[in-house]
Amino acid sequence: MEQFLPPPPEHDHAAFPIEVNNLTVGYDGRLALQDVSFAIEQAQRVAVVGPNGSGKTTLFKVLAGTLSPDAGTVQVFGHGPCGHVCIAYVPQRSQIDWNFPVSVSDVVMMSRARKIGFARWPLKSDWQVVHESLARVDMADHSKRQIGELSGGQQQRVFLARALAQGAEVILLDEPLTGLDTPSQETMFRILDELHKENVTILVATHDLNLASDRFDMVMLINRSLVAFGPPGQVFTRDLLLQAYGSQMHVLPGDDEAVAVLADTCCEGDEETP
Amino acid sequence: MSDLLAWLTEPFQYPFMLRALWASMVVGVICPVLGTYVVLRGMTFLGDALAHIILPGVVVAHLLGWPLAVGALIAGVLAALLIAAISRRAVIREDTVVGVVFAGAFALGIALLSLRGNYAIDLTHILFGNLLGVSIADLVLTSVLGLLALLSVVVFYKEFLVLSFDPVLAVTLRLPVNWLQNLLFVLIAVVIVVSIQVVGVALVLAMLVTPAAAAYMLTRRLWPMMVLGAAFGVISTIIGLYLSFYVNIASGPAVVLVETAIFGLVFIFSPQRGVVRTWLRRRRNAVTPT
Repeated sequence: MEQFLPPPPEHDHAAFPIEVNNLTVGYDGRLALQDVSFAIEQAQRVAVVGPNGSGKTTLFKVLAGTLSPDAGTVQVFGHGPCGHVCIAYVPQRSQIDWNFPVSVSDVVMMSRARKIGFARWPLKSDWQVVHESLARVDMADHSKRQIGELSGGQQQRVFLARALAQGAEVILLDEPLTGLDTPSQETMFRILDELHKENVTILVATHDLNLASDRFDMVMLINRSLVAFGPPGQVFTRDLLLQAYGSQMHVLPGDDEAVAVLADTCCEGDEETP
Repeated sequence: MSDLLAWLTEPFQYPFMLRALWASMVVGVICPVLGTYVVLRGMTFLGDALAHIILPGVVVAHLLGWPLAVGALIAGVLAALLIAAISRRAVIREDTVVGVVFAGAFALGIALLSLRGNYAIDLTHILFGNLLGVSIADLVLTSVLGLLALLSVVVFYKEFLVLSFDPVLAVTLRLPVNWLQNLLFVLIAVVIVVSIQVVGVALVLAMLVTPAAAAYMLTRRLWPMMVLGAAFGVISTIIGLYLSFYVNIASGPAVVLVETAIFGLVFIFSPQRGVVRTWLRRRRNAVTPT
């Protein structure tokens, strides 16, 4: 279909992969995000953290260009997001119908739909890309299985392979770690580290503050507005966490300083999805 | 042996039965193919609504003496685009809007039909089909429209798959999502129009959904689901026609009853999702000490 579609904009590599200025998004008559501004540098691994309903999914949808902001601007490599085909959005697992009759390689091939072109079938080279993408996430042996037969970690890896086959330069992963066991999480992080070396910019929405502080270059703390954005050490302070989580957090007295305990009710599918 | 052969060939010595067979086989193929999308995207109610919304178009065509399919096609395409537009900017729940439009249009259709004094037979044909009254002109129109619908599914297979499985991916690939969505609605409307002659407004939903649902329980990829659905559709129309000829029941309901029976068998015996399999698995798990 590509020949009938407007070409994606040239990337301005002097510009940030993602630059957001005074972004405000509302839906259902309430504000989901208010006056958010930040810039992400190329190849940064960013953890997006905040309580349920804090606007993580909304932010991702605006960045992916599937939801338009009410005010402010979003720039991806110097242009608005709506023309880009280099942005991959991996939805929360609860957003996918796992009983849908598609095989693992079908799912990965979907991201090639535009490249293959209208009224054409995948070429050998497309299958090659699909196979390589699956091999990179250790799923090549499962390519013929129906997606519902996989474990949660395997399903996440298939969707990551889909982003790889898309040739994405910006990958937005919405709660990819929720419900995964430790080995699956490790595999995910190994792939994310590889992508980091290949200059892919990665944003991960997560509830796991430990992983956010250990495995990411930057942490973005949001709750309807941007509370803090910086290296984990600067963001995970008692005051900033209190500001983001409010009454969901309890502060326990400790020896040197107070210890903050989060009572965050993290659950898949709780996040609002406009 | 020759008795059986005679039994099998006898119905089709009549030209009207041959025309009925051809028309119903076209419908038997294209309904499950498009019905696959209806089943997978949970649009069953929408499909039913579309069938009823077409009624005023059919009636106007009937009153003006046009081929029914022409009126139905105009009404169907208009309704499909209207529903697509409403579902994009819904102020109240989409299914409520569809329900309002669907009942209103159906009432309009019957009201128009009742303008002509004696409308009971016409109404029966529109509601339950008139398979044995298929004319050559109907047959040509059915075949052409059916072929167009089938070709469209082949041409847009990849795009419709992305749109059905993960609409957000379709947007991030910057595919023309609204355009594809409208096209899919229009194709479903076309298929419904083509099927009305065979099974009528009231039963068209079964042709769309039942074979596709049976195929869903037996397949793991999209195109095999379409192929198997089409096979169920064709088998059902053939068996239905024999039933109609020998047992002397109305042809549309006969076809739908066969489809329903196939669905029932699959539902019970499907190796992956069937009732028996689930029961066996549960029993085995209960016996095995853990």
